[in-house]
Parts: sequence; C-alpha cells; structure tokens
Amino acid sequence: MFRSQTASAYLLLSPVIVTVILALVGCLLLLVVASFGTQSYLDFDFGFSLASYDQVIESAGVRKLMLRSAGIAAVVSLLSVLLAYPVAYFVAFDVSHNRLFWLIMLTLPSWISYLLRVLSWKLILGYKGVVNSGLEGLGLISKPLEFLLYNPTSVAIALAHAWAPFAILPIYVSLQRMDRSLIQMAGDLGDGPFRSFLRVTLPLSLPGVFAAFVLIFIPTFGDYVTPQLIGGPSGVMIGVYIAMQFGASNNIPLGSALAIATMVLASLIACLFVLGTKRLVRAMR
Amino acid sequence: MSRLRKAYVVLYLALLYLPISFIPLFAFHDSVYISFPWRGFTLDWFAGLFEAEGLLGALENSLIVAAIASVSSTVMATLAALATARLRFPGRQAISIALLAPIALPTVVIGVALLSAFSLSGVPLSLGTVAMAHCLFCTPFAYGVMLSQFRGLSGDLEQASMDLGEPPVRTFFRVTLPLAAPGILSSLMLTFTVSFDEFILAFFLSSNSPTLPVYMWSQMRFPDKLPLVLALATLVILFSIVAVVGSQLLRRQGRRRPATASQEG
Amino acid sequence: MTEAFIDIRRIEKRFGQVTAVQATDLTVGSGEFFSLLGPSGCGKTTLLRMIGGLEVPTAGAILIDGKDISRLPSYRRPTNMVFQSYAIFPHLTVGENIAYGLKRRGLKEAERRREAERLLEMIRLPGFADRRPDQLSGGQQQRVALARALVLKPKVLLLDEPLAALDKKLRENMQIELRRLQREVGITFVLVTHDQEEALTLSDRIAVMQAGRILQCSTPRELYERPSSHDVAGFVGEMNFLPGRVVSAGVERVTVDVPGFGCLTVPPGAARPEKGEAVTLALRPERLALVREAKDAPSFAVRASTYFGNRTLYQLELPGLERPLSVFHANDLQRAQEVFEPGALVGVLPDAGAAVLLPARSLTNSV
Repeated sequence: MFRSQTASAYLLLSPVIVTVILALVGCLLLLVVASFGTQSYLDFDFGFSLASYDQVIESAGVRKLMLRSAGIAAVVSLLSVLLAYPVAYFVAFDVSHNRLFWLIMLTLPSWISYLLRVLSWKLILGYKGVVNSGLEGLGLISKPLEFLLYNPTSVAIALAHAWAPFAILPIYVSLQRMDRSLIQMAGDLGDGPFRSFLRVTLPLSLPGVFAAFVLIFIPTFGDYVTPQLIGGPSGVMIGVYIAMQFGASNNIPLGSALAIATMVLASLIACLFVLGTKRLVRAMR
Repeated sequence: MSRLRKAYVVLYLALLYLPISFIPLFAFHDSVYISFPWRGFTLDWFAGLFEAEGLLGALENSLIVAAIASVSSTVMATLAALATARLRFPGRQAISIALLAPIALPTVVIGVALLSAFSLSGVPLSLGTVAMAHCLFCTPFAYGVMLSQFRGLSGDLEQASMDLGEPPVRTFFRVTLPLAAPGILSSLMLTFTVSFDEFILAFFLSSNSPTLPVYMWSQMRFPDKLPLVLALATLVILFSIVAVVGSQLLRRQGRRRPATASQEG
Repeated sequence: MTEAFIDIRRIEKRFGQVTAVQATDLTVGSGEFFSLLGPSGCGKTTLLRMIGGLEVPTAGAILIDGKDISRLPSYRRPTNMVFQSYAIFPHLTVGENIAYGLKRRGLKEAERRREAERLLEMIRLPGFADRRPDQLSGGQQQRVALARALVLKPKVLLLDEPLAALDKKLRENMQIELRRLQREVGITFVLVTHDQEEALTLSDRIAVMQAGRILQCSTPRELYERPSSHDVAGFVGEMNFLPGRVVSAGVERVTVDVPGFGCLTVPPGAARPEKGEAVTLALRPERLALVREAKDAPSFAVRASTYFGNRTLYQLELPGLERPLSVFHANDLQRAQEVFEPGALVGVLPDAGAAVLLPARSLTNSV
C-alpha cells in the first residue's frame, strides 16, 4: 500500500504481460513483417515486397474463399445468436431456483472437445452415417445420399452446432444485470409486453448480443477443423488455405498476409455489424 | 409464454446433446461401420485401446502439457487478477481487455503466428513449444475465472487483515488465498480441460510428439480405426464433463459470503 | 481542553483534481469518544481512513501519543478499524476472527482462545466462539467486528458508520452498547457518521464536516446551542433563521430588530456586529412558546401542523418570508389540550436568550 500502487500492480502483471500480451503481439507483428517477405521454394527471405498482398487482393480464388468464409461465419453467428437469445432469456427471467443447473447443462457442450463435436456430425451425415443408414433401413432411399457431407452447408451446420452454446452466456450475463424495474416502468407507462421488450429489454441486452456475435464470428471466420474434416473441396475456408501455406504449399509470406487480412477483415465486419444493429434498434424505438 | 420458452429450451438442449451422444452410442456398437439399427453391443473397442500403438504415448503427452499449461496459466492469471481487481493504476482497463481478447482470435492465426516465431528463431518444434502455446492460450480462460472470483470477494477483507496487523504477504496467505482457493481449483480444472482438448495449436506445433487430439486426428483418416477413435472419444468426453461440472460447482462455492445484515439483534 | 492524544496537522487528501480533505487540523484527547459528522462526500471517511493508514495523505502529518505515524502502513499503526461492511472473515469461525490479530503477537492457541472468550463475554455473545459468520445476524456481526478490533487493545479505535446498516431499534440499542464499551475499556474512539442524533448521543466532542473542511468542533451541547455558522446550525437539528438589523451592540448583549417580532435582546455572537448591520438570528423551534391569547406577543397564522406523539410541530407564516417559522409545542400535561388549527392566529413568545447571532446570509440558499 505504501509503495506506489502502479508499481505493485505491474509487478504482479509482469509474468502475464510477457507471456500473453508481449508474446502474442510480438508474434503477430512477426506475421506482419513476414507478409512483406519473399519466398522461393524452401527459402524464405525478409524483405519488402508487396507480392503477397497483391495476391491476396487480386486473386479471385482468395476472394471467393474470403466471401465463403465471411458468409458461413455470418450465418453461423446470426443463427447462434438468434437461437440462443430465447434460451438466455429463459434462464435470466423464467428460472429462479436451479439457475446453476440450467447454466451448466447449457454450457457443458461448449467445453467438450471441438474436434469431437465435429466428428459427431461426420457420424450423422456421412456416407454410412446415421441419416443415410436410417433412411436406407426405413426403405426411403435405395442408395446413400452423397450430398449430405463435404459441402459448405454441412460446414455451416456443424459450426452452428459447435458454437451455439457460446452465444448463451454473454447474452445471459447482459440480461441478468438489467434492472427489472425498468421493464415494470415501461409497463406502467402503457407498453404491452412485446413493446416493452423491444424498447427496454432488447436495447439493454445489446452489449451481450454484440459480445456473443463477435465471440463467434471472428474465430469461425478463420476456422480450420470443421472445413478440413467435413468441408471437402467445395467447403474449403480461408483457415485451411492459410494452414496450407505453412505446410505443404510452403508460402510463408502469402500465409502471413492471408492471416493478417483475415484478422482485419473479420474484425471489420464484426464492427460493421455492431454499428449497423445499434442504428437499427435505435430506429425501432 | 414462459412455458413456451421452457419447451423451446428443452428442445434446444436435446438438439445440442443429440449429435454428441452418437459418439458413445457407436463406441459400444458391434461393427466397424455405423448403421441404424444397431447390430450389437460390445466392449471390444475399449479393450482395443490398450493395445493401440502410440495411444498411451499421446495420452502421456497430453497430460504433461495440460498439467504445465494449467498450473502456469492459473498462477499468472491469479497474480494478474489480483492486480486488476484490487489496485488502481493507469492502463488497468486496457490490460484487462487485452488479457481476455485472445479468446476471440481465430486459433489458426495464433497457431501460424507462433509457428513462424518458432521456426524463424530456430526453435525446434516439440512438446515444449506446444506447452508454451497452451500456456498462452489458457491464460485468458484462467484470468476470466480468477477475475470474477476476486471481484466477488470484498477488498475490505484484505484491508481488515492488514489493519489487524498482518503485512501484505501474510494477508495474502491468511485471507486472500484461502478465500480464492475454490476459484483457483476451478481455474486449474478448466484450463486443464481446455489444454487437454486443444487441437489446432498442438497440431501445428508438436511435430513428433503428438497430443491426444492430434493422435485422434491422425487415426480419423482410417475408416477401420473409427470405432477405436469413438471409444477414445467417449472416454475424453466423460472426462471433460466431470472436470467442467466440478469446476463450475467449485466456482459457485467460492463465492459464498456471510449473510448481510438482518433484523435481529 | 484535554491533551492531544491524536494530533492531526494540516492533513490533506487529493484524488487527482478532487480534494477530498482540505488542509485540516484536529486534535482528539485520550479516552475521548470523538465523532466526525457530515453528509455523504464531506471527507469524513477519508479522514478516518488516513488516521488508520488505509489512505495515504497528500500532505500533512498525524501523531498518535506523540509519535508521528504518518508514513506507517496500517499494519504498523496502533489503530484498529471497524469497517462499515464489518469485513468478517467468512472462512474462519467467530472465535478465530476475534483472535485473528493475536497470532502475530505470538500468543499460543490456548491463550488466543481465552482472549476471544473474554471479548465474547464483553460483547454479550458468550459461547459463540465456534459459530460461523454466516450464522450471525447483522448486529451480531457488528459486535464481532468490534471485539476483533478491541482484543488488540489499540490506542485508537476507528469506526466507519458501524450502525448504518441496522434498523432503528437495533441501532439505538447498539449505541448504548458502544458507549458502555468505550467507558469500560477507556480507549479513544473516533466514529464517523452522517446521523446527527447518533453523534449527539454518543460523543464527548463532535467535528462537523462539509466539503472537506471542519466547520465546527465542540461538545454536543455547544454544537447544538451555539452553532458557529449557518451550515452547522442547519445541519444539526431543526433551526429557524430570522433576518434582522442591529439596533444597538454592547459587550454583554445585542439588540436586534426582527420583522414581526420587534426588538429582541440576544447574547453577542463570535464577532461584535456594527449598529445597523444586517444579521441572522438562529433560534431552535423548541425555544419558542405558543400562547392562545396574543396581547403583547407577536402573532402569526398557522400554516400547517405535524403530530409527533410527544410534541407537535407548528409551521407559522412569517411576513415577507417564504420559509415558515417552526415551533415545537410539547404535548405535556398542561399544554396537550391546546391544538391550533390551520389559519388560526397564534401568539409566539421567543426565548431570546437562546438565540444565536450569525452574520446575515441570503436566506434563499441557507440549509
């Protein structure tokens, strides 16, 4: 207490600053630097070349991948948030006793290995999967359906299922913190339950909604596991393409440039969504 | 209206758990292939786990990495949360956000960033690099737990301890630590699970010493190995459930406070 | 004036641009029950915490029993605090809580237990040693917090609004308890409160604070009967402020012409006023008597009345003033029969000898 509080604070924070903040920032900066380098087969040189960024911007293939990734991520995030909202509302308002029970039940799946959750969809939608052998067994089809797996839709379904529970907690926290008397006041002033929801509850819960959206959108945008496992050639997403540059394709500058571009683009879109929705909700009042 | 919501939530839960439940379901299936209806019940696949080559090695690797990552991230996060929850200093908000932000980054980006750093600085890929990566990755989770833990406990208690004569270090051991213990345990369990299940960073950074998820991934490309993978997956799922539920219950217990002033004398 | 046991010299506390406590001097005598009284945000708690070492002063010094403790951290000071939130350690039993500070002093476990028992007797909670804090009520927790501090026999006990969270009846009982305990142990108490009744009941001396400054520091009686300023007068209890002009000013008495009352002779204030100067007379509502027949007495119309059981508050119209005249009419044996209706004219007899002469101030912004 008698040494400066600032000094004590930074002393306590030093390990975490070095390990997390400096390390992460350092590595990301390295990526930025690497993106300006040049690569010829196995040799990588630092330099100042905009070749990779040219490729990123010019290449139609990259653009297609980015669009597909953005599209899938957007659909997954919106779906997750919309589906999760009533659930969060339920736990925040309709439950008074066993809240912890409901919360555990709802968030438990999000802690089970991501890899395994995607694997389960392979079991369901695969050539010899649950859906196919079930339909075959019932006599509804004679040959297994092939279109169920290895396409962007299956990727989106699996992603939505995997990420959905992540939307619940931020929205729940936001709803739970709300002052209930505000809703009552709106009712006193003449708003029916639906209107008071639109004018009071929804706007006040927006921070949670935005947090949920961003939390899901950005990681999903650059996802690797799901497209790699069940995306097939038509379901490739940018995360897979980036990983390839650091593996088989061996093009580090391109990979770095793509990684940076992905991060920037994903954050930008998330910001736009947040601002856009804020305007929309304000207009609805 | 609320009954409608409840029905919706129950349906939601069912759809959430249904796909995952197929894994244990087919782990006991007496056939290399998935099919409906079931062919028969067997424990062969689970027995086969003991003979699977490389499995025990991968398991050992995962346990080592998870142990290192959980302990180090929890220790660092506890110190950090202590600072941000109790002290006033410039940059407090910024640092708090910066410590939680990595959760929102695509893991692939973190993975390639670390990969570049290691390869360009000549550090060979090994279990050690995975451990370092997991340490970084788990800290935001640990920080979240410890921050809410310290926020839930009044700072008055530490001040009272010091007022009664105990200097800061002794106050930490007599008051802060015992009261934070449930949170610390919860954080350890949570980060252990996160590290144990983590795939992408381990995949990029492990080279010859795979962790369990990486091992599973490599086996997934063989159709006849599928039941084995399912059996393994079932055990992992079971373990995760126990760890997470335990961690949440402990966290709840750690926030217990004495009753606020009531009306009796 | 008792010898200075706590000597606070030009103490000041700034938080960035905000000055919580302005350069202040204060002395507290040994064994005194001293209160810091004021509204929220006046700096009283900050001052208390500086004495206890929980806040570092930006300037100034604090001496206790002759020793300068200004730079000492709280764990090295001969002070102990009772927190507003009680801050009972939830992971320890009641007995362990009370004996908490004794461990460092090297007492063996048996001795610590004995001391805890002794204090439990003192706070009238015998046998509670093995109870857990979450089994206690608010009042009981408060007493445990007190015991925990007292067992260390500090030179000064600091109390931060200890009774704020308790209901009225309990608070009154605890006030009596506190006073009794203080007399019993003889330790210097410094209490912070916003409740003026509490301060008046418990204290040997009170310092009234506002916006970081001490307005007046004296005994409860002095403070109530001879407030030194408008702010103090209005803060402690109800007060009437009557405008007037000085007719003649002597050493022993001053004559003031008050509209509606005529000339009143009052005791002189702190500074002798000039003839013709505008002044304010502060007069307590209980120092005015009401009479039905108003022959020579000034009369005013009743605006409203409020019944308090043992007395009635009458508000009378004063000519030319917005604020009514407040008069407490005791409902005792003789006068309980007199009830004055709104609109009725009532005679008022002021006890001029109890009036306090204050400098004039615009009455629209007085307390």
